[in-house]
Amino acid sequence: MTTIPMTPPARKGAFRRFLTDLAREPLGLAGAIVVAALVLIALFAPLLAPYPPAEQSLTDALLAPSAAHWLGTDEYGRDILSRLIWGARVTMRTVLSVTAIVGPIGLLIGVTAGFFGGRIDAVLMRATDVVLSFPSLVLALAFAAAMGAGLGTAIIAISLTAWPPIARLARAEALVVRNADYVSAARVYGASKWRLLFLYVTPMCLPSVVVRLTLNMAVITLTAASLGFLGLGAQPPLPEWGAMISAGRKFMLDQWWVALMPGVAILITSLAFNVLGDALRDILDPRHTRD
Amino acid sequence: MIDIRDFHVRYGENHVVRGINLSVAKGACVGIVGESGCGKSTVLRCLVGLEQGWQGHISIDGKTVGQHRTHDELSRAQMVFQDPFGSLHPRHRIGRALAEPARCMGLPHGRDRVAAALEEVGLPAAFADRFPHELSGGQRQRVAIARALIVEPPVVLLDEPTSALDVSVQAEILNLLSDRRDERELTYVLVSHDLSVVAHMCDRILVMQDGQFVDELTPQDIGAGRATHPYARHLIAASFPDAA
Amino acid sequence: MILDIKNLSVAFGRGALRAVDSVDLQMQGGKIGIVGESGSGKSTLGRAIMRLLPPTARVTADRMAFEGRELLTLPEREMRAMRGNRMALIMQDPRYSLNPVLPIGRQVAETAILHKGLGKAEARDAAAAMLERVRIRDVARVMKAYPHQISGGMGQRVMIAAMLLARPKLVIADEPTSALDVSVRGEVLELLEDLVVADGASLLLISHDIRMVAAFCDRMVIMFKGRVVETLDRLEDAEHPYTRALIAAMPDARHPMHRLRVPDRSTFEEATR
Repeated sequence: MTTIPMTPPARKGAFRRFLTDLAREPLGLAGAIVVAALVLIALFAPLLAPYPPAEQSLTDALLAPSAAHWLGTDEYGRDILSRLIWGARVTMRTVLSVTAIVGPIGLLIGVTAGFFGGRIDAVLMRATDVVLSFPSLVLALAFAAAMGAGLGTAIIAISLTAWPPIARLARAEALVVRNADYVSAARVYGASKWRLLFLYVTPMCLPSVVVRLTLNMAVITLTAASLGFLGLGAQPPLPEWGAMISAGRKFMLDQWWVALMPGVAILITSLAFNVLGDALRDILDPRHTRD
Repeated sequence: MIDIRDFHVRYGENHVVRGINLSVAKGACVGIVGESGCGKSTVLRCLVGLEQGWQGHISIDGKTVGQHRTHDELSRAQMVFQDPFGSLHPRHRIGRALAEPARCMGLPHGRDRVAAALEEVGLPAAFADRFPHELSGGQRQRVAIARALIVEPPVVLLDEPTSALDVSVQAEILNLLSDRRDERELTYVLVSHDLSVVAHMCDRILVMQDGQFVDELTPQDIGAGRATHPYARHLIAASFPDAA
Repeated sequence: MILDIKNLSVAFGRGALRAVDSVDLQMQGGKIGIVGESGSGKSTLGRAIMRLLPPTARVTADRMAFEGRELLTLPEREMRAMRGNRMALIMQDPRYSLNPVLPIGRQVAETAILHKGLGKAEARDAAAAMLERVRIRDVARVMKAYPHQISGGMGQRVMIAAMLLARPKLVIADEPTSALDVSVRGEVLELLEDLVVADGASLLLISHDIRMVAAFCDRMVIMFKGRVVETLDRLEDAEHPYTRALIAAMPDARHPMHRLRVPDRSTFEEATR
């Protein structure tokens, strides 16, 4: 029997390795930090906000940024910084809820279509095509108009049209994976179709889907803000960033901070998700790594 | 042990395998050699149950098998694939890769069984916790062999098992395959484009061209450069360029 | 001297491990084969000579001269003028080395346009003439075809046509027959013999197949872990334990044995130091 040289196994945990990979991508790391900060801000909003978000003080209305109010006050004298902090909760809730709905559904539909092929694939993909052709904002509007405006409605409305790209992506990956030798080998040792689907094919489709979901979070942020801007998202007095911009429109010229601050918050959030998603793709998908 | 008769495979207009007959005795090692597109891999894949849509008759270990196989029928023949980098699931640890076949076939699949399987192919039991990318090509191919053997099939089909390996690693793997065959009295069907490998491992070698067996040789025939069919002669000449 | 290389080393990234380790190589003409297994550094050597390694590669040498010109310090612009013109690289798999979205005629003609300054129509004629030289029968059809429409063997001939159109003085062939069927390999080697050697150019053949190289090349350089282990003319002359182990490990139909002799790495790793 030949002696096998004992190479020490790479025992760094997968998560530790992921963190070190992330550290090598400065932009991605910045994105990750911002996203983590947003999550923390959303969680600890009651502790972080200097003022209650709904506390009005008409004497302090439309004050410019100062030591007392770092980002100024709006037309009702409410502290904008506090409202942004509480608004992070609304945004995070929307983004995470939509992702939690859209991810599993898109993944399931996509891998099922890709793996089984034939008629199942045709039916699922035509359904996907139909939903994909809907303009998301218009559908969200219609949905909100029918069901009444509110945060829950906004979440469902956005989810309705956000899953097709995930399904398409998962299907594309599944189409490649199902021809791999390790799937063929599993067929030969009698693995059932369901076993193959859930334990062999789906795990290989996850990285691309995770990347896409992260990039999607940027889009969801913007869509939610758009709905809020149109008054169809979270209703007052909930401090939703898009609604804050809408309200601040009237004062854009003289009291620019009322509309600009929430706008910057949306920008930073969206950018952070984008940049994080990009870095995730380089880390998770070896085919896309750059030297 | 294996009996194939009047075997045809058509993909639409393409007549990939044209009426072959093959009988393999228990404990024998038969080689099928040919170039890309001749249909040799197709024969193997249909034999093991990976592909349907063939016509003809296949029987393994005395029992006729159809297009779709039961677990019992699948356990009669297992396969070792060519690419050691593609035949193991990248996200499954080695221990899991070996337990899966046993689990799917309803056999015991505990750590002991896995450790025994690893030992049989010359790998330490600690490898069960590793991922495929932590192993070399030769080590992966050993795992692939262990995986094929863990359900104890009497027949093992080998699809270019060493084509992707270096010469020195190939020697190890071919020795391992010979040893396992001797010990377990296995029946092998080995498909390759490499005449030297096939001549080394097999008792009978069938030369395949355009979906048909055109010649049958023994290792001695190949060593001496004896062949009847012109294509077989051409293949031997091309494979041994330094022959005087 | 066509190629004069002294003490060439290549390391990647921040690693201390050398892919190519202190290699000396001198070519006066004819065919030299570089033989090694995966990780031996043979492909890296070929690409280092052409200066086609990624930016993370650190290439050092006392001398790396082609036709008397030092290559390491040559500006990239001049290097580009040499590649495909004075020196050429034929790669392993035409499925990946030919551009899948361009017709073959255009790809072969590109060399003529770049290095011989011909106009489009003249370049197309030169390409057609070259395809005939590599013994492709239906030249008109192949000129208009795309790489996926022709066989592997034909694809490799197309690659050779494109690379040899400018009549380079040095041809480096990196596993030119490994992706091809056995019966087609001889034809490709014959082609290289006719076009390269008969033209007075030199051929550096990189391969893992020691038997093929022994039968085809004048001289063989055996590489292991980045170092040159031995240089020989015939397999029988092999003295280094690694070379002998490599030859012994191959199944030989003329000397059959029940078990192959597996190389014991410890013995020749010592000898290589």
